[in-house]
Amino acid sequence: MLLGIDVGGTFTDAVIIDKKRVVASAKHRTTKPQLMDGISSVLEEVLQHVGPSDIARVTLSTTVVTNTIVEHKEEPVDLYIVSGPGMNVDHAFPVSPICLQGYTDHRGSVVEKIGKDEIVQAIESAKANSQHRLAAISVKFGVRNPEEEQRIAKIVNRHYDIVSQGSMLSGALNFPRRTISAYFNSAVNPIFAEFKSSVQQALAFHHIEAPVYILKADGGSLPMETIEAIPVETVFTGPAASVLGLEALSTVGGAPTVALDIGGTTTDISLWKNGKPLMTKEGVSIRNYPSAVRSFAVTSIGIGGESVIRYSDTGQITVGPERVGPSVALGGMEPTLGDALIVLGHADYGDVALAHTSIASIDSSVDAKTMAHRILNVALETIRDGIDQVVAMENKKTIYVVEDIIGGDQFVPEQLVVIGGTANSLGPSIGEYLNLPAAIPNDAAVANAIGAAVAKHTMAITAHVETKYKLMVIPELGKTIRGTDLHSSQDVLREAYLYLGEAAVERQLVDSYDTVPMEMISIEEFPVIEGWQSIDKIITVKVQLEGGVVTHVES
Amino acid sequence: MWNHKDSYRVRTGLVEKEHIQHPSLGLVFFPAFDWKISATHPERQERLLYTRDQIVEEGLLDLPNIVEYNPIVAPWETIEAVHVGAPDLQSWVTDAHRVSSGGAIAAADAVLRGEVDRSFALVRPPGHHAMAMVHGIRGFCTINIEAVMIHHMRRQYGIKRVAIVDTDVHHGDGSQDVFYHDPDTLFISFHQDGRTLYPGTGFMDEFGGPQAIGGTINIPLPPNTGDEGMKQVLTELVLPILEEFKPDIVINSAGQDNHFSDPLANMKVTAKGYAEIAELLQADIAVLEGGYSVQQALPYVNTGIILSMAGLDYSRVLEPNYVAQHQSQQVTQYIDELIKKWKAQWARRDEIQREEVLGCTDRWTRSYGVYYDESGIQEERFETVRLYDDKVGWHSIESSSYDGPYGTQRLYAMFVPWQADDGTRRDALLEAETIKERGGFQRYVVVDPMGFGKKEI
Repeated sequence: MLLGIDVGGTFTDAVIIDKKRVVASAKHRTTKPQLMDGISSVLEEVLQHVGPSDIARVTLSTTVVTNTIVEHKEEPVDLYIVSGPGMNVDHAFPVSPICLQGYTDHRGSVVEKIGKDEIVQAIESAKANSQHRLAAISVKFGVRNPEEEQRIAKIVNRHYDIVSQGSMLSGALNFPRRTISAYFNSAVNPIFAEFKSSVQQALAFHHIEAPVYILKADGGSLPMETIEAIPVETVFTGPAASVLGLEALSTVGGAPTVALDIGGTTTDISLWKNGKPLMTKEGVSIRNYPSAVRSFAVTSIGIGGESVIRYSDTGQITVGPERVGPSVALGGMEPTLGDALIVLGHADYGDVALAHTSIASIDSSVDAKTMAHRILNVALETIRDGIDQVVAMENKKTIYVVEDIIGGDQFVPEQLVVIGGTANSLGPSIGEYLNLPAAIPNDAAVANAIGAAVAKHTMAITAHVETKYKLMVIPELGKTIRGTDLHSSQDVLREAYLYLGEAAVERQLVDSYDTVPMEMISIEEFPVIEGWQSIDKIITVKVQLEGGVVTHVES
Repeated sequence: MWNHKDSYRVRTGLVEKEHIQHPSLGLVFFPAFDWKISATHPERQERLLYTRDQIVEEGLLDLPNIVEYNPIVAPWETIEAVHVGAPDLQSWVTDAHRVSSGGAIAAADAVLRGEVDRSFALVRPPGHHAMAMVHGIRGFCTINIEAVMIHHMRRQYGIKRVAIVDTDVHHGDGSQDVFYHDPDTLFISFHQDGRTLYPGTGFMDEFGGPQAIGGTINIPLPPNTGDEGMKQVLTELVLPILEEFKPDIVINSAGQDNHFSDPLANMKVTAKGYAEIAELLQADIAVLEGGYSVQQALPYVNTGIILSMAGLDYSRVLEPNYVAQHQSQQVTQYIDELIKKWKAQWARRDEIQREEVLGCTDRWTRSYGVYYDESGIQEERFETVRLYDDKVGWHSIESSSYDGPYGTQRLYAMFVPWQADDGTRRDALLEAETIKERGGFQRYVVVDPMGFGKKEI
């Protein structure tokens, strides 16, 4: 049996899944700061029907890391960078970086190397000012040759408790993103350690000994011990769990789909192709800083069931983005989108008469029904604009080859899936407005916990080969392999699969690598011409463990 | 400064200056990783690979004031409003060319719709050696991507006065050809002297056709010109001429082969020098042209240009292992003299115009040859310009080539000017029909960019 726990900002949910069925579920308020109490409560409830020894695997999703970052409560970090010549990044990060001399170029050649004494000097002068115990290090083009980053990290390590390295968190190009990942990875390390011990206590208390996994933003899970070194990967697992829940509940078909999760304050928009949610192209933004953390592409817009209605002197209606309280029908002070939906007969809860009065009182010259219609239209426009923007973003990918544009497959939505508290009352109108069929699956109140429970393990690596230097680097594994004879992208792909399989076995994600389902993300091969001859190649291959759900769940 | 440092959308009132907190740059990036002329050709898949690596690694596309735009596929009718092909355009123009020119169009749209302050089409294949008549590939170019873009700007947005400043190390002979008879399109090229470099043209006396004297400005620079020489030419010659011309829009054909490491030329310009040139010039739209030092120059030059055009700090852009570049005293003296000579010629331009049409009735003609180095084709042209006292007239080309892959090509092309009124258009059609009656060509094509487009008669 699979146990899924979702520790959200408001609620902590748990589900137990046995052979595609939810056999137990529970929902309790999240307890802060003692998270353990809330986790313990849901465990107690779901374990009424199931013995702890029947549980084969525990997976948690949590907003602990997200909230720490959103609330600016992360620990300060000394950020060391080797940026070399290029863009001025003095103000690109949450703290002023400590710049070290040196440069690695796009081919991975170390053009300029910083001396050990200079590194130590920089550390000592930083420590003299800050006395921080966390550090991060990021080197431009470190993914083309991680040796400088590793050498510096080794020295920095002696002076700090925790040191994160940019190129180990992502093998993709984009120095500022990797730097942000490294910074936040160190910054949330202590809070994650606390979370880990809460979870361990709660599980031990309930005699659960199954291996424990943590959900990442990309919708995959990894063992808690592995995540401890890369806690930044757990940002935004809330939306990830919800998206995964949708996938587990098989609510999205193969057609290009827009899924809307309409809550009280916001609506989360995700796009789906072939029954799979789409990923962000480079990574998720953390507090407005683009990072290298891979995640589902989920965009929040400021409209939900309890969005407040505002009315200007000129008769202009706005819906949201703020929520000031519950709907008037539920005892709130200001009319909301929910009140309008009640007036229209689309929703049925609370005090209907109160809803009517509140909508009618917006403008005495307009009757409640007409006003409610207008409000609904404004809400629909807002949602449509949001969807349009998300679709446009998806379709605005960099065109690298002629084929991308000539045969370019654009995302054109063919259907909607609407979930969340306001799905039933707003979903059909959205479908009608956008002229798309709208499916509204039975509201799975614990979809997030389900998503967590059934998440597959994911992991991605990048193998970059320079045949001229007989060099292969796999930054995520911190590997620099010299003397390689690989000369074709197919050879590199095969080798990348081997390394990924090995790493998966090492992390106990699988028993043996014959059984690992792996897939290629991208492959690039360029002939390199120097001195008018073509003998060498630059090959980059990205592979990952296949993501998704281990089992679908019947709702 | 020709634009008083105001972007197009501010100059035209599309957006109020106070509403722009930080100037923005639209970037169209199309490296055509699947397109090459041949495996070891400078125009091969790898050309923008390291530039892509650098741009992505620097995180430039994540900056809030850099907006990425997708290229479009340029419609045939837009290309056909500029070019005539022998035997036809489809024989030479690939999808990559249409996307590259479509990239330039997308860059122009971003500026002309007022969405961004400036834009940069970082695209290939290039176009500035492509002339209006196309019998093959010349200087790696097949169609003139700036010319196709300019036609789009005139047709869609009613843009009139356009200036092109070509900073490629090679003379932009294709752009010169397309606009040689157009007094409303100023073409300025500064390049390594044609006596020392392909295509061997671009001298001071190529000064514009009889109705557009002073509309073509060629500034042939000595080999080993560095940042200081470039900036001097720009500030002392190019910017004053631009200011006098009063362009609605300025385009930079941003070739990057003046770089000291370029394998095909002999100049000494640095990445930072390119960034400074971009800042001085204040072009509304830049379009990549040549530049073949794909590893040592392009990544840094492009980073410099992008930062500069986006109004960001480019002072830290430096080639790895940079060795200071010095322009010799001799070169500086040569450039001083050149600027002096140029100022004198510029002052005499009305006089030169009168001399040019002396003895002409309403026709001006010339014969010349064009060589397509990539295709090994020699084309011979007889060109006629119709002169009016008060308006821009048509020009026609009687063209023939013998040794290309498609055999003998004999083609007549009539180019109606974009400024044409009904009278000009009628005269042009009448002329073309007269020529057709006389016979001797395989095709008779009339190009009327603002009217019916392309017509076979």
